[in-house]
Amino acid sequence: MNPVLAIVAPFLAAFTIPLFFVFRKKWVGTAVILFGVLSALTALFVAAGGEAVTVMGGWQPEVGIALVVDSLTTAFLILASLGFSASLSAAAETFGYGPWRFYVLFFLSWAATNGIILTGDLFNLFVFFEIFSVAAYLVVAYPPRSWQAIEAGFKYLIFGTVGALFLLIGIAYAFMATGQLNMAILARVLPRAPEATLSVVIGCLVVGLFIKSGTVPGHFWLPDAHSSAQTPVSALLSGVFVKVSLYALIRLAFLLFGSADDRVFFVLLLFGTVTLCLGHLMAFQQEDIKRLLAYSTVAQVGTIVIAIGCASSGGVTAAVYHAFNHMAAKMGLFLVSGVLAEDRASRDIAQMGGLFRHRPLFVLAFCLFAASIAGIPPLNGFMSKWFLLVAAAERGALIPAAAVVAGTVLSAAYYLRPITAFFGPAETEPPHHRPHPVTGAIVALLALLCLVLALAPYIGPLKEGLLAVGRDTVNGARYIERVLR
Amino acid sequence: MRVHRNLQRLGALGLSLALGWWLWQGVTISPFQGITGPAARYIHGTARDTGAANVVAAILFDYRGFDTLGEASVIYTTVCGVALLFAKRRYRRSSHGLSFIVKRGMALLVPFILLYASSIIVMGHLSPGGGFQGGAVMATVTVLFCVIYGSSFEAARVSPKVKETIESSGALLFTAIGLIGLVTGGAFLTNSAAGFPRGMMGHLVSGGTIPLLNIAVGMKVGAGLSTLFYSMVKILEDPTESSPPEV
Repeated sequence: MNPVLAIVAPFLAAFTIPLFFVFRKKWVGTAVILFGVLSALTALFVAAGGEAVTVMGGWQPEVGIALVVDSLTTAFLILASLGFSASLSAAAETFGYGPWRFYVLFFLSWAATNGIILTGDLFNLFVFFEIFSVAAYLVVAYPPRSWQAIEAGFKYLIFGTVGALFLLIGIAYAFMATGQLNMAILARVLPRAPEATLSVVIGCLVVGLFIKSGTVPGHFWLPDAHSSAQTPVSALLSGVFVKVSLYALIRLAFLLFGSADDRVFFVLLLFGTVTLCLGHLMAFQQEDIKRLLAYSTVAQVGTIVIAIGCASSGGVTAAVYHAFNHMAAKMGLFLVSGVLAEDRASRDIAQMGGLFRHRPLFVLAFCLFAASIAGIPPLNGFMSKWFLLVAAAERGALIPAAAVVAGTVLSAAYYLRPITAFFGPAETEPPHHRPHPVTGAIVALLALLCLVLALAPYIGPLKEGLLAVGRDTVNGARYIERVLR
Repeated sequence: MRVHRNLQRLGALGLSLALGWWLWQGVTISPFQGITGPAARYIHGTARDTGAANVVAAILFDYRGFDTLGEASVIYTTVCGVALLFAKRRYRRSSHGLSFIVKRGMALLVPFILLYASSIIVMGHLSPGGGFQGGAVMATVTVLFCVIYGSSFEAARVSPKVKETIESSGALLFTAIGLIGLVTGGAFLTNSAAGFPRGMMGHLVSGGTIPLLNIAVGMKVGAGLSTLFYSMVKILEDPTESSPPEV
């Protein structure tokens, strides 16, 4: 299947939903679901189709825009389609189909995500980052009646724009020095650029991606956006959106920066460690359950950045594996805490007493996800942290490794606070108990995914796939040869 | 307090200067050795490859047409988002417009402005211009309506749904042309290799898909910018209310 279809399918959804609203209002809901299934299936088919290179317009990669599928793309395409499908189902249950513009933005961000993952052209990457970011600011600001959401969306807009400007300057400098935009060709010619130019290119791209992914010191938008957005959007932000910027960081770090100047990996290790420590420490102090989860996401971003900074195939494997684990567990945590906070009509952890008797299955799922994200053996979070520790030890990065271990202890401590509250006594009965069958089913599926991921190192094909992602990504020469063949 | 603020400003100034110095150091101006790389290909190959007389249009809509789909979609996203944020607000009448001389003058001008906009869109592959520029000129007509006739004039005559239909149809047209290229030419947005006629360079029918894509982008941008403007007009300040409405 042609890789471009994974981008075109969600675009078609975004372009036709308004027409359905104008001409056949009753069909909007059906169209949203059908397009959701179509988009997810197309992305999965592209991922299953194996390695492929296609150039838009049938030109050569140097002149046109290339889309490249390799094992790293495959992994992230699967991650994105799982995350978007889960979030779409939860959104359909929470919002209904009335706010059709929300779904237009949703599908636009899906198309842009697949575009960022698939593209092999540096400027095309920026264009898709723009669509992705604009859609992300707006879904955070939805619904417009809550001023917290508007404020969080505005903050995200300011930070995101600064990040986008850095990305643009970096791309412009790379183009100025080489006259090329294709990433495979750039990987060949960029190292020959003068050192001062190279420092601007790498510096600007890294800073831009740090801000977009929420790495310290560009993380200020992240807790607000994650905690003020609606539950399905928070799950999507944490599960997929943050990972997309990390995907771009992995791709550019190994393809462009690594061959030019490998001091960049030391910077990644440094900022990853700072992000990890700060995220865990801030999460420890939160009283609001969604803010706690948001700062925990900051810490997990730090973990993945450390894994990239290990600059080895083991590190990339750990990064991708941890991205999957965090997606499964954190989406589940956000969905469960959204339901529980709605029952209590409060996000304050101290108010969360007695919820175990009220919704036992949801609370048990919360415990599983929390244990997984904290890294309790033998769950999936432990497995990916183990991969990471091995990679960090091989690199000789002992301080980041120690920080990861210390972070595990801290996160176990702060996740115990909501859990003790859930099992504790209640002063009053929870006022709301709207049934959430769809969210419940998604939470169950995500819990199952967590268990499957925990077994991934023991399942032959999955393990081989994860190791192949690391091997192929580190091997820039192979990517270049495949694109320019 | 004041000292503190001045210190902050000094710090910001220093930071900006350092950043500027860093960026300035990175500028490379290599001695001119002729045009190389993709740029050379674009300049020498446009006429042969696409049949368009305007190299910029050929890059925008053929060689890197996929980027243009993305850029037009950024506008589409923004329009959709602004309309979402202001969806619950209703129109207020800003004024009854300007004097009747201005109104009649505007009425005489409108067909010509629209004609000018269409020519910019349709001749995008021949001369400077194209879908983005022509669409923006087209949207200025609706902005002028608001200034000259008051904000309720346009809303009463052109329903927002019409604009939404035009905008989405433009986006769909772009995608459909791309998919035709995928089916017949083997790659998304294939132009002459997919059988679109290259035509005689300099003629109106030339450049294969480029004029069609210009029209699609023109629909998308024209209707989109107009929707954007009228969504924001909704937050007019009402003199009878004490404070401007909160968003």
